[in-house]
Amino acid sequence: MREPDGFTAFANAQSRSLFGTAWLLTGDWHTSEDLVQEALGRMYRYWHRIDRIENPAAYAHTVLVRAFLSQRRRRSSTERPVRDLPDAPEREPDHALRITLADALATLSKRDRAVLVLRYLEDRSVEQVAADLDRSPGAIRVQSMRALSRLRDVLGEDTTELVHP
Amino acid sequence: MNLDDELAELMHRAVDTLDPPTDRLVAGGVARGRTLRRRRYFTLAAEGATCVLVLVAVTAMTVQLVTARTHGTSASAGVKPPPGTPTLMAAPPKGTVAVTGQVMAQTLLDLLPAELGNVKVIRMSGRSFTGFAAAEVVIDDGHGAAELAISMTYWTPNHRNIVSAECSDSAVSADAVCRILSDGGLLSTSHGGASGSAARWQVQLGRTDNVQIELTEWNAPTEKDARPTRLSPPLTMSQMTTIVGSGRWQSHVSAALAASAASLFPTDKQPTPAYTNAPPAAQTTRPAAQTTEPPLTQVNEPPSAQLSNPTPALPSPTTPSPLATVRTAH
Repeated sequence: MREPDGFTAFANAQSRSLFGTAWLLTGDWHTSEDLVQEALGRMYRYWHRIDRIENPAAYAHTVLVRAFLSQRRRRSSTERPVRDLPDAPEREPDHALRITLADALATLSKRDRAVLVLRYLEDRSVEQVAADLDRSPGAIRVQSMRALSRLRDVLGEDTTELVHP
Repeated sequence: MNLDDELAELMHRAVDTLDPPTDRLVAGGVARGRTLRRRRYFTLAAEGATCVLVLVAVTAMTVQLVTARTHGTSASAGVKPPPGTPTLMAAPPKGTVAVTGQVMAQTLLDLLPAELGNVKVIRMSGRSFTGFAAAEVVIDDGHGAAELAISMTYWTPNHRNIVSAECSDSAVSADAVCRILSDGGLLSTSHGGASGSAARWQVQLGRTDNVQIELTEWNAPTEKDARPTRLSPPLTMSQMTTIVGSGRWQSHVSAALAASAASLFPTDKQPTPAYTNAPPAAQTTRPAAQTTEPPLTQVNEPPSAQLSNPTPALPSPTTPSPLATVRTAH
């Protein structure tokens, strides 16, 4: 079948940021690739109705997070700790930060991880995240606070060196 | 420290330097999207087929009841309607059965062009259910193993409208063409494949009898996770168009054909050992065609050039070929 108009350009423009989100969610390079392809595939399927979506880029990230949550539910029995290092070339490797953060995020539940990534990486409001994940704003606030507290325990009190090496 | 303030920066610093393979991501996304679309079409087709079956059952029951009242007998007595009673769907011809995955594979092998020469069939599989039949065949004509996938789907009017709308859309990408044939059928062709991965060529024919025939081929032995074994898939676009245009693709086939093809491979299971359509003396290859032309090793003309002047031959010489005269949709 023919390629939908504009999809390839959209996918090219969004794949890097989608991959970043996927990587924080999964901590694994190959799983992130699969997740991005799944999200782009779902966008492709509904691309003929893309005009009805106010912010396709943000929508694609929501699709990715939802795909992550559903996949992780199905594959929970095979879930494994995230310590895989990316095996592809990087522009400016920052392995220490990446590994530290991936390890810390891996201690959270998948939904807590999704909440933090949407809130902090995607800079979405509590209300937006609640709508994206079909939860109440109150539940998202509680999840967010709990997840932050857990991260603080794992990362320690002083992360200045990570932020400003 | 205030993690609430610094977490966003930590996350961005962690991922901003990642350098994912965007080409592969995009190509994979497109492939995944196409699969999802195809599933949607099949779902529509299956739903339509189910509706038709229900209508047929209801109509049959109504006819039986009316007939029973007319003749003063019980419907359960199995009274046949009077001759000439209209029916919603023509009954399958006597002695025929629904097409199977094995018949699809057999038919595909039979329709392979003689120009391919000796063809070794490496493996086969296939399946069928209401409104759908398909087969995958991996062949090697001496230039590298390649997978061919053939499917037959019954379109619903809704499905047909969707595809017609897409076909009539003037915005067609560089690697895909959709044409409306002179008989109203829809011919869609595409040739793609991500850089470094297997090439994927596809031809779909939406016939006016609401049957869609789809033929896809790769220059690799499997659809996914396989390196190309040859420069191009084995069939040219013209040859693929000829195959899907064959009158041998029928929803019902003779029981004898289905029985003979049933031994090719178990239904819905991995294929049996190598099959060949060659004589018993040459169990692993198909006899070469009587031709002076060498076997094709690559497509010499770009697919777009082939499609601009398709000249496939349909099996019925008495019926003008709808594929012979095409017009580009506007």
